[in-house]
Amino acid sequence: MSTSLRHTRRDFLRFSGGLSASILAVACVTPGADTGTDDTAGEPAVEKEQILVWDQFGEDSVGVNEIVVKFNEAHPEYHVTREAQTNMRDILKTSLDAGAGPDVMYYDTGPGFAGVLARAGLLLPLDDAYEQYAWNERILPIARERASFDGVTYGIGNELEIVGTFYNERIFDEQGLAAPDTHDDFLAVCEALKAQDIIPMAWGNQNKWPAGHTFSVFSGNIAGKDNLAAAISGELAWNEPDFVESIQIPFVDMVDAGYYNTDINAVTYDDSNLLFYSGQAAMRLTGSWMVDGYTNPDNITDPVGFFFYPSIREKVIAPPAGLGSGYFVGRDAQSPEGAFAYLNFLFSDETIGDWLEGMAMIPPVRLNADDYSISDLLRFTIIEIQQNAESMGFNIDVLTPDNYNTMMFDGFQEVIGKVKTAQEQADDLEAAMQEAIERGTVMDITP
Amino acid sequence: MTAAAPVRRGQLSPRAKRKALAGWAFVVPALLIYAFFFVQPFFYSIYYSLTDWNGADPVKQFVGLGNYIKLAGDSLLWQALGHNLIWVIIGTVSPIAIGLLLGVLIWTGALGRVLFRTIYFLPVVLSEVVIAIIWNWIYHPLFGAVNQILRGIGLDHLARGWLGDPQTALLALLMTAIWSYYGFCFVIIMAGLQNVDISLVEAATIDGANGWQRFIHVIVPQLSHVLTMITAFTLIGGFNVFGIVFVMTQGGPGTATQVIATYTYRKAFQESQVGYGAALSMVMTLLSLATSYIFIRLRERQEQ
Repeated sequence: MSTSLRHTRRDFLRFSGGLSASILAVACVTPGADTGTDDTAGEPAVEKEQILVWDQFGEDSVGVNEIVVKFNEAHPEYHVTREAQTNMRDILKTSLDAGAGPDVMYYDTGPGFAGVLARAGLLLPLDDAYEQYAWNERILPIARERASFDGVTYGIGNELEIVGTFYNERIFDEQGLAAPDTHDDFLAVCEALKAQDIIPMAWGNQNKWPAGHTFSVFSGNIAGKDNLAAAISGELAWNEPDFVESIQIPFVDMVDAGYYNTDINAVTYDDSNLLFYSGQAAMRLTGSWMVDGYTNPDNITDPVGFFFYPSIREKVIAPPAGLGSGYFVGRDAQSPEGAFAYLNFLFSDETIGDWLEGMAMIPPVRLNADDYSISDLLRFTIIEIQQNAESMGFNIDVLTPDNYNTMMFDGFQEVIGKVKTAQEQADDLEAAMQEAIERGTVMDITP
Repeated sequence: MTAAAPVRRGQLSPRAKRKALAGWAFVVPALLIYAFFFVQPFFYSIYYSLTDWNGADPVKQFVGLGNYIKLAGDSLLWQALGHNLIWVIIGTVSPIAIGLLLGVLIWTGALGRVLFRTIYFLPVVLSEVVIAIIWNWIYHPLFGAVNQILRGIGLDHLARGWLGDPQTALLALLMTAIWSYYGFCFVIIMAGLQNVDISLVEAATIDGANGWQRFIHVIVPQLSHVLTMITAFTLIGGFNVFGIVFVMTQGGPGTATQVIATYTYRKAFQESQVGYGAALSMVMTLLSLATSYIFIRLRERQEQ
């Protein structure tokens, strides 16, 4: 019995060892699915330079995948592999630090995101690439400014966007309403809709970040562009009366007046879009990234219009405008030249149509909207951005430090939930900004 | 034929040595994996907790106990800790009580034992994320089952955004956690009940003990080892809870459901304060260890 057992153990060890050796041998000789070599029959294989790209567009993004295919076809010396990452904020820092990160990454441009990577020396400066490819002539200055830290440029910002009010034109027509010119007009529109049992504005803040855009709209319109820039840069206190009012109006007064759906903190961003799509709500205060959704007949058949949130007490409005994210190159990129070539291709004449027509995203380049087959709403957005670039305000959360953002997101939920007052939230925002100044994570955007 | 060499006391025979070596051969790989994936990161975490590091900078500034001193004055930590304590108490007592009750009911001879066991155990096989998504739908303010039922029976005034209301969010999460865990308690208790000495139960019945007395004084004491194990697991789980909270509320509304694990994640990953996050994780580890140790020691002393 024991002899048999001993043999079994030996056999097991022999078998395990043999199996491991076999696996190793097979692994060594079996080619990968995609070696990235140009293996044209009859010609020697050319080793391509590999470029790994991480972005946040989703694995099935047809538009971005199309751009990658086009690049690989047009550049036989390089091979781009694209990987969609859903948790980039969690893994990117560690991956880059370990030398296992991507060559090119599509990441948030703020000081708490790309700024942290840049200051840690994990990104390649792109100032020379801007010269080499003459990007300054093609790419809008804001795309460079937002991706620059401490005087050095590290990326190209992308996805130009604005935040404003989308409205259901059918409901407005039926109720005899028009896009309002002033804040008081806006409140009157809300009252009229409410009287007809229509939710004036759909708002879901369970995800926390939508409140940041609402605050961007009101602080731009009440405090003004320059003061907002000063506050973002840590030069003006966030508990100044204008900012307190920018919290009080949308998060307290309009909530109490019943101008939104109920349970704002329990409704997700997507669900609030459903309220708008279904016609239960007449307006949505959100960004131009929703243009694609609001012009898709599968979502909503009613025509959708757009207006910037109107002037409050006759002040000049500064609607939020900014960039979604930006492309950056990792310090340890296998092929920096290939990475620069890919960035160049991303915003070339060959791909502008992919961004606009395929994804309804506005790339950061000078373009003529009439040259492309796009919806009227997207065309309107492009023209607005181009014509009013100088007077546009800011999307606060892409410019402010991360600890400020968490205070902003948590705090606004608390203000909506009556756990905190507008003044308390403004004080907390200022405290968070002071902490960020101490940590050196504040971005100076003053002229 | 030669006599076998005498083996001195304390010395292993060649055969025993071979067996010991074979034993080590099987244990060492697992030990190495454990050391690499658990022990090493644990000591790294201790080191990080003594630094001011953003997770990316090549320089980790040593701050000694600075992070731990800062923890003492961090009101959000205390709030999160309070939520963990609520979670530990309600989230430990409830699933065990439900599991025990159901286990004893079925053990006493209910029909369809296998069917009930399968039904009760079903939530345990689901991942935390799936459970969180299911319950997000159940609590949905616009078309969730809870509000629909309340409206259906004329209790409209009770319908609300359960996860968006600071008054109800934590309890709503706890309900989800209890639902996901009581099946595990039930199955373990059912296994424990197989070892209960029936003759003692019968003797107690003859002595005139009623059902409740038999349950408390005869059955529960015989389940003490099983209950100790489940309670220790649940206590540790109560301090480490993350998935359900993160998926369902992200600690919100505001910080109404923030627990230490989600707060640690927020500091380390969302605010790039990895050093401070590591200090928070050390607090979490110490709490889990200390609570479990004290509980098990108390149980052992009680048994002695």
